[in-house]
Amino acid sequence: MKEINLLLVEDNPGDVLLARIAFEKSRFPVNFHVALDGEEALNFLYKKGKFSGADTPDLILLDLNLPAKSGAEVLADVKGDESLKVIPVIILTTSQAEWDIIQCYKLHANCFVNKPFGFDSFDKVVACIEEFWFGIVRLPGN
Amino acid sequence: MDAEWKDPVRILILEHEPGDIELLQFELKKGGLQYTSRVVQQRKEYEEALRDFRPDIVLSDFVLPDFDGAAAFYVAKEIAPGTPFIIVSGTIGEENAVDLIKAGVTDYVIKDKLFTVVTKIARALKESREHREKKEQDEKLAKYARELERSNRELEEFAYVASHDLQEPLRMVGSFLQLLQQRYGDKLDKEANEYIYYAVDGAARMKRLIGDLLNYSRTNREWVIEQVDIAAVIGDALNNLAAGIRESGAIIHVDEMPHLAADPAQMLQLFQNLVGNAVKFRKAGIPPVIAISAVRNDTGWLFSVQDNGIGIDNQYAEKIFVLFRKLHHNAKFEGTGIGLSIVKKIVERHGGKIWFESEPGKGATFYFTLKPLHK
Repeated sequence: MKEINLLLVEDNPGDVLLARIAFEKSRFPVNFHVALDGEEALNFLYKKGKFSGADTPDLILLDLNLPAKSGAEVLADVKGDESLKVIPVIILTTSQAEWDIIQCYKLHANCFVNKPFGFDSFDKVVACIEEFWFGIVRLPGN
Repeated sequence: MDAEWKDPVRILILEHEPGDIELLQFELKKGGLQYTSRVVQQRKEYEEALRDFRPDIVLSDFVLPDFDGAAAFYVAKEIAPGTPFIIVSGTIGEENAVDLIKAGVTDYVIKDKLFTVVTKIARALKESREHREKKEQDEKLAKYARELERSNRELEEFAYVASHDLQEPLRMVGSFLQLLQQRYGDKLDKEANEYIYYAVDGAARMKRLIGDLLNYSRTNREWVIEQVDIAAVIGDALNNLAAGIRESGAIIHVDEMPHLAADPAQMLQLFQNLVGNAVKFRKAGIPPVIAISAVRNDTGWLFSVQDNGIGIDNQYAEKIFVLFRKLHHNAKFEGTGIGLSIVKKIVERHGGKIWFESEPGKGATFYFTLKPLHK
C-alpha cells in the first residue's frame, strides 16, 4: 500500500505528541508531518525553503487557534489555490463556537472535528479519521 | 421668592425705554427680590453681557433698537443655553406670545400686568433649576447604565475567553494522565494509580465546570428569537437526558405546551436543566415521577416542573440559584452548581421569574414565568 502523507498543523507540542502516538497505532502506512504554525504549513505546502523536498500531503489536519496566521487563513489559502484545493482539510480544534464551524465550512473545510477530552477519546477520533479517510474514501492520486 | 435661591439673582434686562426700565426695577424691588441687574439695549452689548455678566435670567422687551425679542432669545439660546428668558412687552399680541413660548421662550409679561413679573421670575428660576437637576441626573444615570453595560460585556467576554482558553491546558493534563495510566499503569503500584485516578477525576470535573461556565456566558452572548414549540423542545430535552431517565426508571408527564417567541437553544437548556435536576435529585430506590405543565397568565405563561425527589430546605431558597452553589457533596450528587444559575438567567432574559415550593423529603416544584419576546 502506498504511504499516506499526513500534514498536521498544530502549535501545541502536547497535541502533536498525542496525535503522533495515536497515529503510530495505525494499520495504514502513515507518513506523519508537522507544521507548528500557519506560515510553516504554507511553506511546507509550497515546498519553500527547508521544505523544498517535502511531500505533497494527502490529507491536512488543521488547528484553528494558531499564532500569527490563523487556521482559518491557512484554510482560505489552501482552498483558494488551484493545485492545493483538492487536498482534504480536516479542522481539528477545541472551539465549539457555531461561528467557527460555519466560517470553516464556508471556506470549504472538508470536515470540522472537536478535539476530544482525554487520550482515549482522542485515540477514538483519530481511529475514525483513519478508517474513513484512509480506508473508505478515495483520495486523489492514490 | 424661592427660599432655596440664596444668592442675589443676576438679571439681564434688555430694554431701551428709560421709563420702562424704572418701572421694572420698581416692581422687582417691590416684590422683595434679592437681585443684581445689568441693563443693555444694543445687540452687541447684550451678547457681551450674556458672556461676562452670566445672568440667571433674561428679561427682554420685544421691540428693540437694532433687533427684537425673538432674535434676542435665539442669541441667548446660542451663548447661554438653558438660561430662562422672559419677554416683557406692551405690544406683543397673544398669538405672537404663543409662538414664542412654543419656540422655547420661558414666559411673557404684559406691561399692564407688570406686578406679575416677580412671581414669573421665581417660577422660571425654579423650573430651570429643576430642569437642570433632572438633566444632570439623567446624564448620570445614562453614564452609569453605559458603564454597567460595558463592564458586563467585558465580564462576559472574559468568562468566554477564559473558559475557552482554560480548556486547552486542561485537556493536556487529562490526556497525558490517561496516557500515563494506560502505558505505565502496570509498572506503578496501587497507590500511584490511585493518585492518577484522583488527578484524572479532578481534570474531568474541571472540564465540566468550564463547559458549564461557557454555557452560562453564552446565555448572554448569543440570542435568537423565533416561534418555539415548547413541546418539541421538551421532547429534545428528554432525548438528551435519555440515559439518566432510563437508568432511574423516571416517569414523565408533559401537559399541553404552548408555542411562544423565545430563544430555542435557551428553552432547551432551561427544560433540560430542570428535568435533569428532577431526575438527579431523586430519593434512593424510588423512580422519579415528574410533571411538566403550563398555564396562561396575564403577561405570558406560567410553567411548572414538579418532582417527587429529595426536596429542598427552604432556607436555601436564594442560594440554589447562585453560581457554583451546591447543597450536596459531589460523591452523592455530581454537579458543578451552575445549572440553576443558567436556568435563572434564561428565565430573566425572557422577562420572567423563577421560584420553587418544596419541603425536604417531599419533592419540589419549580415555577417560572416566560413572556413572549419581540423580535
